[in-house]
Amino acid sequence: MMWTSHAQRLDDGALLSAMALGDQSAGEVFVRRHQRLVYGLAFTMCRDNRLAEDLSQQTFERVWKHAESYDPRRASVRVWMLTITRRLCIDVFRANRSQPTDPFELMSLLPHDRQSVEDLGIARTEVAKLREILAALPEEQRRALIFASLAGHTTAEIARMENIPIGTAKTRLRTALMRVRRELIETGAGDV
Amino acid sequence: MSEQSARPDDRPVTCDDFDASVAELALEILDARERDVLMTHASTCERCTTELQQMSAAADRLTLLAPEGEPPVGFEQRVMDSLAVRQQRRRRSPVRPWMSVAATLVLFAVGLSVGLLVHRDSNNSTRVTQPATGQQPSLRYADLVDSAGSEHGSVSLVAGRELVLTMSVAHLDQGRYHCVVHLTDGTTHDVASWPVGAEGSGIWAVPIANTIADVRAVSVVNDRGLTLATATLP
Repeated sequence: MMWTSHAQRLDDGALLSAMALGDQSAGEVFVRRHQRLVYGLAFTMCRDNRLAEDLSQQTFERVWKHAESYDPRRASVRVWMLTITRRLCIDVFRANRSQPTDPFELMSLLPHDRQSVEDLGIARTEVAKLREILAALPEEQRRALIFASLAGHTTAEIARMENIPIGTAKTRLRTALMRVRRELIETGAGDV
Repeated sequence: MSEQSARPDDRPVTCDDFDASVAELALEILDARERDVLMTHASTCERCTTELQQMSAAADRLTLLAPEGEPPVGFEQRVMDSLAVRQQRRRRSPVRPWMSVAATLVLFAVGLSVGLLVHRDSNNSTRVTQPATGQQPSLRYADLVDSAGSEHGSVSLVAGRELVLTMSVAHLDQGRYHCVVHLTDGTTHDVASWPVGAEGSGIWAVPIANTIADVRAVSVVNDRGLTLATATLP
């Protein structure tokens, strides 16, 4: 349709603005643009097709519902949206997860090419920078950070998996995240 | 206290305690009780609030590392069906007053940290463009292009309950800029102004009191009245 094709040219911020006003076409373009990203994270975290689909659908419903409250000072639209997905996953884990995600399987998933239509170059740069930062971390810090961020493991779970004291797991997480923060700020990638 | 607790007893949380657990807080892997304790401290400590914001920003970025995945067949349609149901519920609810929509947009704009919307309607009236039931709102879009043909952002018009203009700008010098709407009747209207910071970019939205067909073009004009770029709507 004519105005769907127009909506396809809108950036994420403009799409959210239109969605906040109830524009169905903007929502359609938004879902089409980001469904692989959202589903990918949900599946990475929960390793269950049906659950990943449910969580992805809930993500888009929340994006639509809260489009008005998106704050671009805090994060890009992609990061804001994926944070919603991540929180939904963690809520599910807290309620009923029994088997932690295989850490080695999770680590092997990380290298990938991002193919979002929106801001393709920026996304690739951002992801490449993040991967570079993580690659520079000591292996044990990188594992701790990935287990916590992409698998939603608690510090106690990480300590058990790594057979280390909880205090050590806390220190690894903190040191790793502080370094990621510092690198993002120093390279300017920390700006929204 | 959970086994993840940073404190051996129930003494008040210090900034050092907060620092010890801020990564877990930012990664949202603490239990509710410990999270609440730390958030109570942050609510009274500007330094720790800033620390949490920065750590959370870094933690949230890590979600971008997840590989993309192909959703099951029909996923997109199921989501759209779900959103359509939500939208129908919204339509059945009472029409929000104009200021509610405006406030929404102001929040959106203020969130960009670079400007406050200024709606200066030339005739002090607001005409709501309410689409007929079942009729989709229209949308128009054009890039902001300067006289040399370089792009400086884009303009979109969305006609929902009222007409909303969204302008995203980039590659501008720091300073104050005006959003000027050119109508098909030959008149021009300065509908908003905002400051652009050192980053030279931003997005704003403003409701305007015209129909979508009335708008021929939209320009971004600097404080000295110089037109920097214009989006000519198709």
